[in-house]
Amino acid sequence: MQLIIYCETRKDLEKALDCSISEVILGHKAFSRFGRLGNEEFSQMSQYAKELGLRIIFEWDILMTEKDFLRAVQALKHIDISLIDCWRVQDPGALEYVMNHFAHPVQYICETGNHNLSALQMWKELVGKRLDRLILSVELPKAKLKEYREKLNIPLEILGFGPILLFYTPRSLLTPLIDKKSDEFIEAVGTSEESPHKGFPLIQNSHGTFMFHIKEQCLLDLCHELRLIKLDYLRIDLRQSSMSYLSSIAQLSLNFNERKFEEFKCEYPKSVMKGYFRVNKSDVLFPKLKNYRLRARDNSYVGEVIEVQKDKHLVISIKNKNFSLKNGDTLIIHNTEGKSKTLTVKSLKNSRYQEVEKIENAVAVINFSGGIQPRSQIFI
Amino acid sequence: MTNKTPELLAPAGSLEKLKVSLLYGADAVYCGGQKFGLRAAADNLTYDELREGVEFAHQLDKKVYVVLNSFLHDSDLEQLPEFISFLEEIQIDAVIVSDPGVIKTVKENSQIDIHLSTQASCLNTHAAKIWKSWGVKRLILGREVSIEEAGAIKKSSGLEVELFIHGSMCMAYSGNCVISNYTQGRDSNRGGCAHSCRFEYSVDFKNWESVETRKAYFMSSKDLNGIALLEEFARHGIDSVKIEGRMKSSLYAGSVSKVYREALDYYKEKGHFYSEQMKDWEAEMNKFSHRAYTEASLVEKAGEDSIFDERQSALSQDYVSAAEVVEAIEGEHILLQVRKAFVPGDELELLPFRGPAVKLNSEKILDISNQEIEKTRPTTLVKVPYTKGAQELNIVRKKSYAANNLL
Repeated sequence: MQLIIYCETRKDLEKALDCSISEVILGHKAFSRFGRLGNEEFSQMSQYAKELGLRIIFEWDILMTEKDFLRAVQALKHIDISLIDCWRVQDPGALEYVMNHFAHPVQYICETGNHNLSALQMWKELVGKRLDRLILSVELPKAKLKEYREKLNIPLEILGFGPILLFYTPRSLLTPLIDKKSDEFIEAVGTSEESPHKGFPLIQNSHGTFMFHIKEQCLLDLCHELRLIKLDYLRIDLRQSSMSYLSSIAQLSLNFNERKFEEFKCEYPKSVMKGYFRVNKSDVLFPKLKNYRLRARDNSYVGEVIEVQKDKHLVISIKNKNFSLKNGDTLIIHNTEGKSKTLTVKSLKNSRYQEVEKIENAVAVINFSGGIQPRSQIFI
Repeated sequence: MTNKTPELLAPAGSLEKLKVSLLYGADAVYCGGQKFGLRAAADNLTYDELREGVEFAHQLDKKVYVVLNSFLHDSDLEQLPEFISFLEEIQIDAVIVSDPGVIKTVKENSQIDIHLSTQASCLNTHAAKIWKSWGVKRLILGREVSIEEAGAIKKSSGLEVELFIHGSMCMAYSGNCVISNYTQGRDSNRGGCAHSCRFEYSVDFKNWESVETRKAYFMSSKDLNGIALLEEFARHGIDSVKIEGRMKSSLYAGSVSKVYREALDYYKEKGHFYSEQMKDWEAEMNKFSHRAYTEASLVEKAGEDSIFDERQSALSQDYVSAAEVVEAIEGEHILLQVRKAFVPGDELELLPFRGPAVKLNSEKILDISNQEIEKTRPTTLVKVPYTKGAQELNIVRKKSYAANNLL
């Protein structure tokens, strides 16, 4: 398993080499969400990276509307890409463009969604032989990473250390708060009393506004497991902290040592976590969100209670078109507290409040029974 | 002369709302089944309700699209083929999908048309080519795309394009927000969004020490309202305009559908929107609950004025939903299910499916046993004298207390 790192300065490139990292991501400010390199700097960094024998990845991970895309294509003409080895893209439009305009290998970022094998196979087949690797979501647990590595049989990469991006908008959300020009780089921290988590890092730049988790992703103590499942690349992102931590990170990834890891965590300015690496249960709360009234509807469904007049009557709306309600019928009513009650129809009136023998697909007034509320569901 | 207008697509969070949206003028509705959509907390529709909803829509020569736009995991996909077969059996008109794996599953199991969800954030012509190569028939473009850009994408891709025209908006690129996943343990891209972007945050600025900490709803977007831009939608050949709001009330679904229907019909006949009625249509948009409105990125990129830096309780609302018509018997009574209490003499308006709102005679209110009452209560049934044109599922609205106070 190889490490891969973002580099913004010549020193970063040297540090990468010192840590036996052979592949670096260069972020041009017009193409990379957090890129800081201008045309000249990109050219110089590319040349130096090549001198050091490093493989260069051009990161194009911004999302673009049609006009943004046309601007990006124009900007690309002024960037020296002669030394790059590979494209890294997220917008499917960028993928289509580099596939048809360049011959380099392509790394496709599948970090947004793509949480199933079929989706990943679709991207693999689309890019074909030029696919250098897929970059997978950090929401995928280890078991899935293992399965995908075995079944896809292509190089895979995940974020091993660095900030977890939670939110990406093209709108400038911080400038209204400080009255600055919208393309300036602004850093802030956001805290809401409505969230149990405090201190979300925020960044605004020319590409929009970004929010990150209060803790960073850290899989350094799990590198042996990642090697066992044959993960190919582990990405290290120190753009929001410092490249001075790279040596420790590289050492820990190679030769994990519990004591050194604890020392490192004390020294590192942010808290870290494993995220969803062990398990992803982000759908277990859904049954509680679900309207339980709907869980058991089938052909026995009659309708819904729409009014309750205590000691007087229940009014029901018969919604089953094939059902005819008569005196003597026995109804099963699931009340809004989830309890079931049985009720025998002893009195049956229509909406004019006239006694009738049967009612179909309309409102019916029947005898009262306690413990039943409006919106209770009726079955036979 | 008949001028081409976009399809009007409205939300159907339940079977009742499906009928309400269609009866108030939507050409098509989008709804979810019990799984695979992005609104886990919505009523959504059961199998039987989906079947009934499709039959109801097709009888009116209208369409039903079913959302399968979650970012599904492998375990979710295992259950999908059975549901797709059911959807094909009941002859839905399209599925709305965001995940390539779901596209593959739909294609392997049916001939159903595929619409790409806005959740996939398709934003440009080049991306459109990829989705087209996978068999997508229509693109529901990202909310960041302007009407002009959408027209260009349609022209170059040859695909149908759909744009949101009204309703709440994600501030983030759709599909690019996982705040709920990490803070509430609820996958926002599988229906568990906790709306963390609507929270108030205190924001500390790291590199501007002179700037004080600010409290703001800085991640909350104003609501989209594109009524004044309808001509642009038509001019650029947008195939479908979509109203957001599967979680919202029948009053909302019906009222918004009705306004856009009237405006589109006017354009179909006249070929322009130079109408005094535009003011009325815009006024109608203020008669139900909403955040302050914005045109967001429909013309220019959404700017600072698109942020809704206010509490949710600051929602504007001239009218409230007072009741729904359960039954209307000509010459006798209208049976109403009360949503918000009212008393005899209150200013009630019945919103017919077509035409202007009509005043409802509420001088004498009876309960279902024909006894006169002095005040209604929510979730009860009451009768008011019959008013011509009243039909089952009509919405009855009441001027809100706050609005009355402003008069």
